[in-house]
Amino acid sequence: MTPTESVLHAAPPRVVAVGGGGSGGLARLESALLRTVDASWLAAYRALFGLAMGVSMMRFLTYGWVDELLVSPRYRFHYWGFEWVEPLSRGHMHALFWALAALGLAVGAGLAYRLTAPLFALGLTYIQLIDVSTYLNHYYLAALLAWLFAASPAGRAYSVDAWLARRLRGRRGPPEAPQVAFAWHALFRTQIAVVYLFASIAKAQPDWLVHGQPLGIWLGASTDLPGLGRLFTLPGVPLAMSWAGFLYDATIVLWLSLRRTRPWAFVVLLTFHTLTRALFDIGMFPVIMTVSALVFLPATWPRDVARWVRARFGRPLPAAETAPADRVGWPARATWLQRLALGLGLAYCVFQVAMPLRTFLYGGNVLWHEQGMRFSWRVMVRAKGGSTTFFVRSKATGKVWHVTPRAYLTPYQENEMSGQPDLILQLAHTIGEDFALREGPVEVRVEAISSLNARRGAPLVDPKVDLLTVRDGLAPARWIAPAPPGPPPPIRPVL
Amino acid sequence: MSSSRQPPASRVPRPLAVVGAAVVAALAALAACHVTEDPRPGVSKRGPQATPELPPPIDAGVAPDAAALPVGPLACGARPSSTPPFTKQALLGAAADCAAWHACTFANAANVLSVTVASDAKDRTAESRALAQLAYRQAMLAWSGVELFQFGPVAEKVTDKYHGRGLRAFIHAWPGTNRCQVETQIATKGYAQGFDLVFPSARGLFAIEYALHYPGRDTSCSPSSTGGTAWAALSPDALAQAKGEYAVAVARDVSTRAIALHDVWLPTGENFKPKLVAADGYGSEQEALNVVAWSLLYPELEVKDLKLGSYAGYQTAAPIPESPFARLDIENVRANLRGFRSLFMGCGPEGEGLGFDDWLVAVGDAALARDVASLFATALAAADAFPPFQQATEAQFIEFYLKVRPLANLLKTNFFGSASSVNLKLPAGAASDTD
Repeated sequence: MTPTESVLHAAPPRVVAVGGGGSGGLARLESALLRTVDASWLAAYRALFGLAMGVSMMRFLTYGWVDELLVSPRYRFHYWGFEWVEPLSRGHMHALFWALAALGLAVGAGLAYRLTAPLFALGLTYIQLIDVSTYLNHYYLAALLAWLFAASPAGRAYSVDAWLARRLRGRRGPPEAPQVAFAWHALFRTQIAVVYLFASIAKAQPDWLVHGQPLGIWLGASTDLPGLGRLFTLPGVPLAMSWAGFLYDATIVLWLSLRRTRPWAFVVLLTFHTLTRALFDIGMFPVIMTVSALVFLPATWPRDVARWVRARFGRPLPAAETAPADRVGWPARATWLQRLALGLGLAYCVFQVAMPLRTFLYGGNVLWHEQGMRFSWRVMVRAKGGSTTFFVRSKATGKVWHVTPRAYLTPYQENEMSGQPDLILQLAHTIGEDFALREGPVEVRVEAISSLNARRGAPLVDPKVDLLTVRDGLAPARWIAPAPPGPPPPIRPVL
Repeated sequence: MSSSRQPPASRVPRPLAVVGAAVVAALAALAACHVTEDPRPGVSKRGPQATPELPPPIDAGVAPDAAALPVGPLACGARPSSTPPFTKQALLGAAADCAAWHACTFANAANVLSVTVASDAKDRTAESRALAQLAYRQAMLAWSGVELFQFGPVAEKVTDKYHGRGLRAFIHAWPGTNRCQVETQIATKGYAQGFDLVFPSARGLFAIEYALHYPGRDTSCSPSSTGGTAWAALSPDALAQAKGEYAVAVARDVSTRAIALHDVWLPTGENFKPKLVAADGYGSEQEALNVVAWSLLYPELEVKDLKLGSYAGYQTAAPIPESPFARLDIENVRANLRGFRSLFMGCGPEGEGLGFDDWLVAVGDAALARDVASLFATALAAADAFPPFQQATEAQFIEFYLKVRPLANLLKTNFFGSASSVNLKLPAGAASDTD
């Protein structure tokens, strides 16, 4: 049994005195985290997440993204330390996505969970490591959740595995209500809360809250939306919607956590994610976030829903299937294994909070220099694009070549690179190596004109710097030019 | 971590060792490929290649006036340049009207070309050749305006995945043209089996240009190829006859395609304008505008990089001249830029009418509209002052290139892309999710 499993399976749930397990604040926290609660929330979350992931993998196949994003590009931007990750052949890549779709559904069903859940998480992580230009916050979130599910005992309750185990043991009748440590509930809640919290922090900046950008730009593309489109053209609507988005991200976790506001919060949540799905190409993100919001409900919510539905049809749940809150189990004393698991969970939470905070160590406008941008939940906060031309100069002859990124990149990659300095640096090195093979020693400079939220384009990278003399790293990048001053233009949607 | 913690090699499980060896072998193979093959298109290990020297084009010795050409059968009317109040639908309608006018003009020019080429093949006089060459020039310049209207059925499927039928490729496939393919058709008469079997690279305006303007009897096909063998078997007279016959057939095909292109916009034909205005099949009005606007990238990719960049010595790829035999390259560029003006500013002779600049003004970015107009004027003035390509020096190409580049950069940075004021996407192969 792994440490994480040991937390979940604190023996068969046994009811002990509240407050058992030690004294002092830490002990009380430990005791609170190790108390067992109804596992039906985790099973329901697993089922919905697995289904969403299965659909997500099918979308990649259906829309041709496997080929266009992962197989066809001749050049790939690598993550630091993962330069060795390469895509499989086209056939194998398609097979992988079919397998991941099947694994997602197997995870949802809880089938061979101890095998399928880690394999799914591994596959999902692999496809994201192939090319940095395909990074999306919601893919990253999906991978994190996949690993959390893989570590969790979500497959032990309301799953094919559980059903098979009962059949093999020859047990009849309804199963006892399974329990899991509250720590898992806290861990998933923390993960989702971190996403919302940092998404709101990312919006707390003048472009968003004062100028209503880039929402003003984006809404311009949806003025033909039936019913709503005309509203977007009214003065002040983009700014009002920007504020609504900011307040939603900043407070929704609180409203979902409070019993009295929860129903209304869920209505708002559904409205918000339906709207974002209709307005933006954000794929499965609204689905993932809607499903994930269920973790803020009481652990018994699936059972409560089942009880309500069955009561409507005059078929109440068997006694063993009812798990009211007073059946919460409290461990008498935490084992070292459980403490280790709690420590790992805590470390994970600290990491998740620290990663987005690293942005602030760099200073300046992260939306411009992008240092600390990834893995920080800066979701849909910047409209950025540009034009990039590399200038290669032979040190021997002084001859200069203009190299367009098109010679290496797909249009999608070029578009992504044009606003991300570290990707520009990566390609500069590759271009330099290519030319050095033919022309001898060269210098590579870049004219990278970038625009942030429709401001007039400005150099993103210092055009005087020979990028071959620069190595990417975690230190502040002096070769990135400062952000253009001034507010964005007052773009308004029109019919 | 200390090395003592490393598992001894002998303890590596056999399957793992096999996988490891396979990975190493695969990486080695990959590295070998990387060294021996440059994946970039047009990049030669041998360095920049110059365009092969070609003899001067056939000079018929007479200079007919454009008035000597017959008039096309279609009544195209004046250039549409109305200025209704700005809406996105009105903009799509204006783009459709302008595309229809250009298509009509080209259809007339293609018809005249077909008639004059047929006359030349029959008469084979200096006058008939000069007239056919003049008709070719008119058709090519008309087409250079149409180039800026690559949306709807005329566009390639990769450009307009909703309605594109690739009509363009059958009229002018540059930069995918191929002289040897043309010569193979001339020598083997493969086209007699039907034009469906003829590659776009061997037909269209490029093939007519070759047949009307290239005096040489040499071939670019290898002697052992089908085309090379058939070519060598032809006598000079038979070759001239074959060239003429192919020119007639291709000109007739181009004229037929031009009529089909015109029919796309004809109210009594395919009547594509209402579909475009309603964004029918595009999914959204914005997507229809994206597809229409992508034609405005022509100065960036085709003009700056393909038509000028290589001659300016800035590119490693060899130039792919658009008009190697008639030598109309600079005239084509001028017509391209005026086509850009038709779509971006308005279809009137000097850019009057509704265009994308009006959209910028409407959303509150009039400064961008002014800047594009200013940079365009600089680029057009440079084009108008530029000598024929074969007379220009590298320094002149560099100067011209550097006057087109700011326009291209501004378009790509602020008019298109993720930070576009009007939210116009760049053509990306994959319409992926975002967040």
